[in-house]
Amino acid sequence: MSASDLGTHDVFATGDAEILDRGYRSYDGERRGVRGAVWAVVRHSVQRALGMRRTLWAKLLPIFAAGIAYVPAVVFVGIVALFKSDEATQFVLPTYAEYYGFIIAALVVFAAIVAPEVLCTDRRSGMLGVYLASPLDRDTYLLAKAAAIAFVLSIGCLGPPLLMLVANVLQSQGPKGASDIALTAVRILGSGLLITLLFTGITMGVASLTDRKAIAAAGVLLVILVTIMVAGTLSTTGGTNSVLAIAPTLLTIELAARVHGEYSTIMPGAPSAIIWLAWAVWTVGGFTLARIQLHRLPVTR
Amino acid sequence: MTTTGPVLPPEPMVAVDGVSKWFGDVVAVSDVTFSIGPGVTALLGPNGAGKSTLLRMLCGLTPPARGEVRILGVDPRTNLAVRSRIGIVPQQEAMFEALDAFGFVRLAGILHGVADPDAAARGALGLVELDPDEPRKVTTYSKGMKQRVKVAQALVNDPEVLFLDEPLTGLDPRQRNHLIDLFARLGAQGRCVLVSSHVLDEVERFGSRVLVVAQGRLAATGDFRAIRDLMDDHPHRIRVRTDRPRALAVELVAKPGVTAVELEPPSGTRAGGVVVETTDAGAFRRSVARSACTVHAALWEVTPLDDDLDSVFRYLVQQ
Repeated sequence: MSASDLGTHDVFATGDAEILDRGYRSYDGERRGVRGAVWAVVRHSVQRALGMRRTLWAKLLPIFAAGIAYVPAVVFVGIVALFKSDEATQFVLPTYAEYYGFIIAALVVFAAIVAPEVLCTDRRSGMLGVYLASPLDRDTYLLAKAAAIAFVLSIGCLGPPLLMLVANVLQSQGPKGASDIALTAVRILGSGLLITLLFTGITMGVASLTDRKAIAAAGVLLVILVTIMVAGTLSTTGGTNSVLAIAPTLLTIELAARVHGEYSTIMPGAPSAIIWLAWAVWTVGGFTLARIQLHRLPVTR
Repeated sequence: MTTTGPVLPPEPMVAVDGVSKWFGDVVAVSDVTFSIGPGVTALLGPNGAGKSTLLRMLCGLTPPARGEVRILGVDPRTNLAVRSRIGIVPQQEAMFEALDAFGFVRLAGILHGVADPDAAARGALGLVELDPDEPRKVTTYSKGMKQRVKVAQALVNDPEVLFLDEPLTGLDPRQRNHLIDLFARLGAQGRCVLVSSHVLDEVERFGSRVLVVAQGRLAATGDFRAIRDLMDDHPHRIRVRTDRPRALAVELVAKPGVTAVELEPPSGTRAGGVVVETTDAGAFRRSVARSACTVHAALWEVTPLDDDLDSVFRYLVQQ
């Protein structure tokens, strides 16, 4: 390829002069206000969390973590395709609620990666001040970040059960009839959304305590592990299994079972009010902590 | 009957198209596009603007993260043969301590595959007014002498394209004048000479063709006077010294294109004057004498205050 093929010419041959960049100029284009700013933050945060428009290394971890959540679903879909017999599939396949028991570890790891990447980076790089110099205030900024985190987490929380539903329906192994399919879909969406919001709240709350991604990720894992230990100890010593709702991982499986109307081996007999209260405490508490931390931060605005 | 097609501009010797370079999160060069041919062109920009990074990409020493670089029509990264047609004066001082000037320049000639490296080295050292028979090692040289050795090693292979990164650093005024003349001669011979500098009076002496780089971006290209004329957001400031400044100011302020007029009081032996801001310097210059006649004022001085490279650079770079 010759230089002329590049479509360039010697700018000095014809005596041309050009000013290509005048530096700062006022913006005369469309101003989309708070909605536009929120959408921009959501979009860029999702890209950031998934490593989009970045190097391969930035993509590997989130894709790997989310991918693990899909592996059991892919395996089960394969089983459904291979074994047509109802008896065989009912013996092997988990229910949509039980599926979360297979992937809970992957979901925890995925959630521990996403929120720190979305929240901590802005504080560390100084972008938070830039965002707050836009039409966004601290609450709309947090709302946008929460939407982005929830969207990304829903990839792991909602995707695999939906994939199983589609495969089951196509293989005639799943719910029969439009109403059953619709009901199952609504339950999958409902449980998935609840679990997404649960992990969004928890991880946002923990990530708001530091501007270092690694520490925030470790903090999320620590919260998960410690709560399991505490819940287990309390349950063993106190004799009631309702206290297991303290542990988000166990709460996740129990929530899914309750939404799908299935019997759970985690907290059978625990009042639903306890389950919903635990969900609300973790979710709303996490969001509230994130909001308090953000409002306490000294930023330009 | 013969027909001739359109006269195409000569193919550029250096062509850069959409070139960017980043190091992690730091964008050193951002979407730069230009092409240059024979003659001397100055690459102008403040410290940290990306000049050296751009030069390294032009020399093929580092690949662009995005975009294409063509030197004499080929990619200098993949076509090693074109490097023997390029001369480079790097900013860094890195010389083989065990060699004298002749040995160092001769080695450069050998590396370039020059047919007679001895003669080429003597010739190159002569161009920069260094004694090829000087036995001292280059490490004992002064900064100016080392700089001239670097220039000599860039010229030993009789290059068609020369990239000079701060070539006059450490030179005394006489040596500077000599090298400036040398570069101008090389440019007049049809070579493409690209000189990178942030010293404006040095750049101005190379000629009027500039590429201005700021914060990794190409801010402007062309003759700096023509660039100044394009800056319609910065009216030209012109000082007019006269015996009747007030009367002349009244006359000038009504002229089309004049945006502001300021009276300068007399200072010591200097007469008072009028500083005019105008968006059309050419029209103003053509009309100022007539305006002075109208008010019976004597014109002693008409001086542009910001038509120099320093002003162009300030307006482009400072934000």
